[in-house]
Amino acid sequence: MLLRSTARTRLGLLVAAAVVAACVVPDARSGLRHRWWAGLGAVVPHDTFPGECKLCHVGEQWNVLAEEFAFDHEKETGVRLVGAHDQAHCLRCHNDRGPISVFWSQGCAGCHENVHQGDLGGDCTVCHGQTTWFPEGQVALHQRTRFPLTGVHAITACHRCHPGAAVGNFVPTDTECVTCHYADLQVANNPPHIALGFVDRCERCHLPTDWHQSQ
Amino acid sequence: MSPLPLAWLCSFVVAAAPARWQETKETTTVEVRVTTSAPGSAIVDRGSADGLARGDRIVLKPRGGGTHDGFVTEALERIAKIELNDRGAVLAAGTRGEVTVLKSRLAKAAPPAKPAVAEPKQPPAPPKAAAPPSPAAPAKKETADHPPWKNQDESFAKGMPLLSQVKPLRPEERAMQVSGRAWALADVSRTDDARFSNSAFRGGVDLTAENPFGTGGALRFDSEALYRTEQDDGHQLDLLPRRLSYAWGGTRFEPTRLEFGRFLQFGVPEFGVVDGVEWTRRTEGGDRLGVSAGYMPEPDDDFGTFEDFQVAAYYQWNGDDSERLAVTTGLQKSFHDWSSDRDLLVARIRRLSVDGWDLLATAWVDYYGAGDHARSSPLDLTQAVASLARHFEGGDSLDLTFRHVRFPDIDRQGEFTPITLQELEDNRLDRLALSGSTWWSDDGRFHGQVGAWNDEDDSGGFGEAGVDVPALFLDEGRTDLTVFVTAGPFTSIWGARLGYGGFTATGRWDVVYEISDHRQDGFTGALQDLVHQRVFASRSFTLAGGWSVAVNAQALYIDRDLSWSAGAFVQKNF
Repeated sequence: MLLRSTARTRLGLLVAAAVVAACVVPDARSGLRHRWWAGLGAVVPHDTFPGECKLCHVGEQWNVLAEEFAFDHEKETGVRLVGAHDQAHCLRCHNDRGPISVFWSQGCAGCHENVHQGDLGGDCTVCHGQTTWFPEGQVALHQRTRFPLTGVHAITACHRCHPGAAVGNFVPTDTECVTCHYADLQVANNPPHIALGFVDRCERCHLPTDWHQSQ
Repeated sequence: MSPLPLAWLCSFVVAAAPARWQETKETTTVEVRVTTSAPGSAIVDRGSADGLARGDRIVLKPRGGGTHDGFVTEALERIAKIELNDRGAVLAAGTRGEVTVLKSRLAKAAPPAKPAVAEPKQPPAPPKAAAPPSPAAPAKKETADHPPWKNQDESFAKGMPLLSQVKPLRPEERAMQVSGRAWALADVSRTDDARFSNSAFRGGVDLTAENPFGTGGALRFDSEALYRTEQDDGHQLDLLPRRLSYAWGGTRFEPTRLEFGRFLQFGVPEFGVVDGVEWTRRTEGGDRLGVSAGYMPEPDDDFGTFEDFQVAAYYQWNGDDSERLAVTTGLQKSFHDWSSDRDLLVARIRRLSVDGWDLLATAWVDYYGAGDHARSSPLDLTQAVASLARHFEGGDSLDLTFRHVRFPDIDRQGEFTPITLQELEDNRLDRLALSGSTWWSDDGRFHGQVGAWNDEDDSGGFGEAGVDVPALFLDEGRTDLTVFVTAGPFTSIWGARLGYGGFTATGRWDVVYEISDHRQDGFTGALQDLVHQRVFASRSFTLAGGWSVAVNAQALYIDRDLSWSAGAFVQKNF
């Protein structure tokens, strides 16, 4: 164990406080979607931009674009921005780290770190949308595996079967019932399962809705 | 022949000629943009300083296609007025155009610049101490009251547009900037009779501080608190310190990259998270190589560390700068409690085609020596993930994926589920799936997927087919009807799923109804078939100020039992 429970509790509360603080404290750059700041690096080359500066800039503040500035990304570039990408600061992608085409050409992995360590393939969109990283549709996805989620399994927390789910580690679990239900087997004494040799093939008697509903 | 048709003929020939042909040793092409426009005339953003002169021919290319011809009627220093041949045409601001001008005019138009130190003999070469281009302003003072200005912008040469090659701020010159996200999530599941319940509450922060110490590096922190309650297991609070690391370099100014702390390995993420250090370097040819050393936290909710130590090295060959074709091989040697544990080879290929098939494949190969007993062969393919996909013009797609998993003979805890020696020897899983979709028209598309799996005991598969109809009831709506079948080791399923959803100005919403029959192997009578009915609804919002909110709810009715689950997710980006 990395930390004792009491220390974990304190650190957990600390993280929770940080979350609350980050959510409550107003963002200094709120609303300044197009504002440039030094952390984003140099401005992109302007040599292909219109020479009329006032089309985008206001007064002498070169790092603030006009309120009415609008850029139809799909029409101008052929790439439609969806969800969180449509709300992102322009310069998060268009900066001096390199042409966006280089990163974009590599798909999601061009910009986003693969926290699943390559275990789940390269198509992030199987589980993730573009609005948040929160995955959806996992029950339907699981029906395509060798262990469709039947009965109470459909509302069981992922980590009950995948111990590393909390850190994105979803490597397959053995599908034998006792892999997860070993403790239930140990306490099953009516009839005494272990004494009678009922130690595997639980599905011969039990339904996935309730251990008591056996035939 | 009258002069007018002759002029038109000449104009046509010039306009029809390729741009490259027009650009000769004596002439060059100046790109312009329309800034303002009126019927039959416009103002463009280049003027006499750029070589334009009255009478020059201009060809404008609206975004929607086609061209408009015109002539420069007045050329001021920075702008020019043009008249169009089509007297009724009104061009949008920003419309591109070209003017072919004599190079001799550019030489005359170039502002006189007197070098303060020394004029570079060859302008394209990086000048070490060239003067900035500026209007001729006679210097009144021969000696400055400050140190002489030194040009550090090695990429700028006289004659280049001022802003086109500005010297980028080096990472160490930038102001400290903190960005990231904070998020919280809640998930609750219950059965209506409260026989079963579990809840999870998670919250975390992911912060990146750029240049916090003035050395140009980035400090990253990513941590999460997880609190969960379960009916039979009580409650548990975990802290998941995913990352606390400092990375330096790896930019276009510095080919060497160094990261230390707790982090997911940069070069080969398949090697996992380490508490240690990683060094990588980009070669002049664009390839990358690196080494790492450190402890490996267990990949579960304990994140226990200091039990497994690893050293690793990798080399990545890149086809070009865009890394559309990359081949990576890496070796990892790990020790569990300082006893030799795993010898792992990772090989990965990625080919991302501009218009063709994309390939992504990774193989984990374990080497077993004399101390390992679970394998008869010294080399064993433990894991493999491969995907071959293509997106066709028009939106059709095809994707073939393969996956192979065996449990490796390792002492490390947490990476795989605990298994017996027999399972270690026998267990494996191979899975192959083919999915695709095709649009029959703008009105909708067919989509389908078939797959099969095979493990040490059984075989099975699944298939689904559906139609996806956009804008059936709402412009931004999407309707999907899918039928599916699944053959599992204990259960066979057939069913249908009807989904309706769409985008709004603030996000997305979805409603799904699913009905399926789950046939239990070995049962008869009323217990043989369990009918599932599931209703799922979700709504996500992307709001101003970096806020994202998503909520979902699901009700599941199975064999006279009702259960439900609900979730909420809120995130703030900053």
